[in-house]
Amino acid sequence: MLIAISVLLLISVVAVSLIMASGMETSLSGNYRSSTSAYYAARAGLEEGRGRLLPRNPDYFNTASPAFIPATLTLGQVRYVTNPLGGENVLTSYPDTEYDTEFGLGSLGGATVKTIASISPVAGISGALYKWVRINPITEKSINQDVNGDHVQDAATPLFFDGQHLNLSSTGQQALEVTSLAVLPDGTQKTLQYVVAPMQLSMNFPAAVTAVGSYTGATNFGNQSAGFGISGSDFCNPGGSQYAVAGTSTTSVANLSSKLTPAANYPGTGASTGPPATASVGSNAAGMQSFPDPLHPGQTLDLTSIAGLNQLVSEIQSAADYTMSDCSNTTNLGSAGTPTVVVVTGACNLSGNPAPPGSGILLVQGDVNYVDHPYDGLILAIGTGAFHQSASRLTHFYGSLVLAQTVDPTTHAPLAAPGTPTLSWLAGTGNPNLQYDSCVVANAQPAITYRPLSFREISQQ
Amino acid sequence: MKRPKRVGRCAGDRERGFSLLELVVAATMFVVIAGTAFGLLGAAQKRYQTDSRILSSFQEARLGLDQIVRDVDDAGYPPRNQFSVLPSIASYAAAPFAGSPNAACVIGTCASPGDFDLIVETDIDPQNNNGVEWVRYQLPAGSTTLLRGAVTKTNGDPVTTTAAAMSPYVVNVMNNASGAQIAAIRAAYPTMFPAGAPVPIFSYTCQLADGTAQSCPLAGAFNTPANILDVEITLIVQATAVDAQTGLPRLVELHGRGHRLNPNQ
Repeated sequence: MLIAISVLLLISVVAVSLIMASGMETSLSGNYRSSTSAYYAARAGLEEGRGRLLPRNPDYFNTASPAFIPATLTLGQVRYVTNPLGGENVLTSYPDTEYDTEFGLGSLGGATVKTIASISPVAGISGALYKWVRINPITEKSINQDVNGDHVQDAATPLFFDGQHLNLSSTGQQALEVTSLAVLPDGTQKTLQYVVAPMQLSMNFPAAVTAVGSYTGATNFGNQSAGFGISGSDFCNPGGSQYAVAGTSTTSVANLSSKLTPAANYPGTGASTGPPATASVGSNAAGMQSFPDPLHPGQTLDLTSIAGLNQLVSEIQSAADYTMSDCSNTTNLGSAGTPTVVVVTGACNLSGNPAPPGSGILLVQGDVNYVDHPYDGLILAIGTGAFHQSASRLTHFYGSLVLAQTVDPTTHAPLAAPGTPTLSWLAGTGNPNLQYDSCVVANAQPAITYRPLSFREISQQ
Repeated sequence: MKRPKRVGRCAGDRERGFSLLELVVAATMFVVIAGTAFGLLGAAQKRYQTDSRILSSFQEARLGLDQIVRDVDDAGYPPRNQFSVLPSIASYAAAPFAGSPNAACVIGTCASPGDFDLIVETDIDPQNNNGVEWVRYQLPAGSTTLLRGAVTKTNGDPVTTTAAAMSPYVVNVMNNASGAQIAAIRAAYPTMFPAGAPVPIFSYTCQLADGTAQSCPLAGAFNTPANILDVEITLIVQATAVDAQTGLPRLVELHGRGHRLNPNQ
């Protein structure tokens, strides 16, 4: 008996030793794995918060809960996406101490808090293990930065983003803070934070019609009748004015001027009543050669070259809500309230007078055939570079039209340099028929993403 | 008188104790089993001790790797876009990664970043108002000690500025060991250190103009510190103890990947 007990004791000691050794290895691997898992769980939370800010996201916050994210979040408005496991209350089980660190002790208690459920658990399958995501406006004080260099950290002015920098002057779009807390079952925690702002394509073509390339004058441009007109006068800002028609070379401008008669039908920058009256036709070559890259702030595109035009097309394609072969599905064409980015790889036939008209950015690689008032916004006919009004009906378009021929209109073979743009107009009714509208152009360019302006991991207290 | 019935043995019975032979056999069995058990215990203890040292080395390396990844993830905070009026140079990250001798150096010719040298530019403690730091990781040639140092960013050269702050961070890192050490490892593990060359700790992916990523040596004009998007980290760590059974050195190769999320403006 004694022998048996002794042997068992010894074997037990050996076994415990072995278990301890293997347990340590498991523990070490587990710690490292947990840290990485928590990081990616928190990143998942950040991405849900960032993604659902975008109106075109099917899970857009305001679709699930109207006015969850108002046009501008005022200070003290705090939004949470909650992702509980089982019946837990994540905001009490995992309190958000970071908010008070940023905004001052007791700030969260005085805030107007709204919550919405995460979409992470789908079809009964648990998603990433983040607990909550907070979305709120920011100030200099909350991000602990002196944004405008006045040596004061303002705690009362929400920060905006003008496309290049944060600012306190409400210029551009509001910058929001997205903070995500992930907690794993073993207790490992990570808190990550973005500052984000909506990013638009932000294209500005300062003319009612921009005709890229070499217009030789061999074909009509527009309609020679007295009833047709193009206006560079800004419809929504009567004091503002652009060219009615802008070319990109001296020869084009001269040839366009000779076609746009009577001059009085083409008001805008540079136009005069004469005598002799002159149409608003000018060159935007410089601006087109250094066109701000819509997707890459700080970079430019040469839109007088085939390469630059193709790059622009590529970028718009990458940001498009819809890519279609024609325009038969008009429901994709958006409206002023919900503008869309649409790429049409073939010809686009638009007609009718929908109320409201379609709106957004419409890139057409084939011919645009346009009658009545079906669309406002930014139409980019880059490809065959042709816009036709093909019926004797009152026709209007407000916004900005760009014509650039980058392929042979018959063979569709790529051109070495932009060819002759086409603008044909059958009807002579209405004046002006095409009018520049800076408000429509601005509104037509929806947010395509919420861009992270900065990222940091918040140290655990 | 009736004698009470005896219970148990009485002197008159033939009592059976252990014979000498039984005792010898039992003792022999005990010695054999106990010896075996103690032998196993000794081996287990030895194994436990060496494994503990090995695991300690690897754990240190894993923690180090985790910190490097975290620093790379945070690189470039706060970026230039946070300011409408730029503050002093020490208050913002001009680029996510500092370059030496200058920010425009071509990776491969820079003193840093390089295969064994990386300087992250970030504010590691934003709430402390002490500005942006340069956090440098360096494994000198022939050394097996990975160094780490953090200093407040200055106008000076980042390599020179951080030099005095470097201190041991992870030991027994063999990526850039001496030729003799690498040869010894290859003798045990022929597939390691291809061609006997050092294995870079840091390899880089750069961001191109269109936002896509490309291995930095293939990135042409974008092969500069400011365009680094991802840092692939490889740590080859050797334990201080050899394997208890084989007598061979114990090594582990750890991989991590840091991804910059802040803009590179």
